[in-house]
Amino acid sequence: MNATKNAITKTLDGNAAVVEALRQINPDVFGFYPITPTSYIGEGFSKLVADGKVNTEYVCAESEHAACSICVGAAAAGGRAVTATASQGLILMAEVLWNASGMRLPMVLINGNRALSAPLSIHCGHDDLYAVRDAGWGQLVAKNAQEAYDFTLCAFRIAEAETVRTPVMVAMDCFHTTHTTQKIFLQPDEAAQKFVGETVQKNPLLDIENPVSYGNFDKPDFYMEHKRAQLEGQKKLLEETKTIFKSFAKTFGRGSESVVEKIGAENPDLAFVALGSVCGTLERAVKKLGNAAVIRPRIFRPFPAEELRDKLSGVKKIIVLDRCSPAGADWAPLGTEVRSLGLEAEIRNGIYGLGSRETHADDFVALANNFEKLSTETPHWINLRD
Amino acid sequence: MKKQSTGFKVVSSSASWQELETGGGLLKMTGNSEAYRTGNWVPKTLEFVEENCINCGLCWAVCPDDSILLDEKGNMIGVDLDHCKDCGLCVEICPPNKNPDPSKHALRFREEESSDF
Ligand code: SF4
Ligand code: SF4
Repeated sequence: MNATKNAITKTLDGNAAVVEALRQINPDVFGFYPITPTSYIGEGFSKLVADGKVNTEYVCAESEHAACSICVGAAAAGGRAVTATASQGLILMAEVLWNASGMRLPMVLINGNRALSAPLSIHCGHDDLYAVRDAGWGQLVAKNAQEAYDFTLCAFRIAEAETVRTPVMVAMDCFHTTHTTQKIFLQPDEAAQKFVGETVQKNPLLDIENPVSYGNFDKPDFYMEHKRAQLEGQKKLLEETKTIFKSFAKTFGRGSESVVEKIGAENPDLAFVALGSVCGTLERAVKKLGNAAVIRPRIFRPFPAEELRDKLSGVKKIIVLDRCSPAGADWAPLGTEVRSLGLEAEIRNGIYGLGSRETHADDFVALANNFEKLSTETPHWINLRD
Repeated sequence: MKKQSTGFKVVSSSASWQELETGGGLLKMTGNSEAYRTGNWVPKTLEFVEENCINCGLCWAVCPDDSILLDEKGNMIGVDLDHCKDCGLCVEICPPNKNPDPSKHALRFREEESSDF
């Protein structure tokens, strides 16, 4: 397509790709506190501020909690706000995440999915992402630097849509994506800006002619109604994501149109379901296996149940892969979600790559070949010494 | 930047979730803490017995919720039950309440009333 030809090719890692998207978006406020692996997003962006390439108010906070709170204030004031964090930082922001979504403030957060302490790990894990899955945010999960860029452009539009007004996080895997340099396509500034569009303020705090107060107290006679009304925004978020992914693919001539991507055999016997960067490894595994496919939700919250059911229909064996411990549940989060879809297939849950434990395509091939031996009750820990 | 104000909408106390403004707890007003009638949370109701009051003003001084009502001359005239939190500080400091005869007390709790929430 012509649009792809217009794209600029660059060699960037996930962090730098996000900085490029943010440069194009030129948000009103960036609240930031550095943490591995997304420190570079703040560092790279602050250089753009210093060089006068953006007019963003860049605020260095004293903690992630403050960084996120700054964005909540900015979004309530009517500005376009963004922050970036990972792991412990996301957990420290947790309290504020619920505030942002409950007040229906459409901010954006970039997360580098990183294992939680203790023991201290600076490597990949999805436990931070899963821990805040009920915060009422949209969670887009990128598989590579390209998607980190694409999703950042999409996130603002999704979050700010009239019917959505719900914050969105763009998640990419710690190091595997944040620090892996890849050849990626960037849209020219004007095209990217046109796609994202202008933000629409809704009841901004700084509109002194029409005073409002945000986050007021609800007594038992209204809290439940407000939570139900909030859920509607999340449902609309999934619909809007579908529309915007389609619009992105149409406008730029690349990127998957669907909220659930399927790669591999047309009518696979076996499917892997996983989030994030591991899907690249799984693509190689399913090639080796032949009659298999990777089915990858590109959004984890709201959960794309209908699309997953559709893409998994007819599949006989499913291995759901989670990059986190089940932590007391029977299965880990993605496994539990897929099991609750009510599919006819045989389903197993695999735990892989905690703290970036190496997992190769052959490990997944071996897992698929041993499907019958895997427990139906408890998840199988891949490459664990026991 | 486009700006959108959704206009003032008053919802009734029986409003369904569909009728609510987008943004949990968004109010089209500021300085609204007085509008919250949190006094109905309390387990007991504070009662003011005017004839026993010596008008010392100590209850007004200690009340953390600004719930002691005074007339324009500064005379104690009652309790704002829409906001009183039942903390009991006024009951404790009230001089007539030191009288061993409860019928001489100026501030006391009625036990029989229960709270809404
Ligand atoms: S009980 Fe506490 S809140 Fe109520 S009037 Fe007395 S001092 Fe004020
Ligand atoms: S403390 Fe007691 S006596 Fe003094 S003003 Fe209050 S109610 Fe009256």
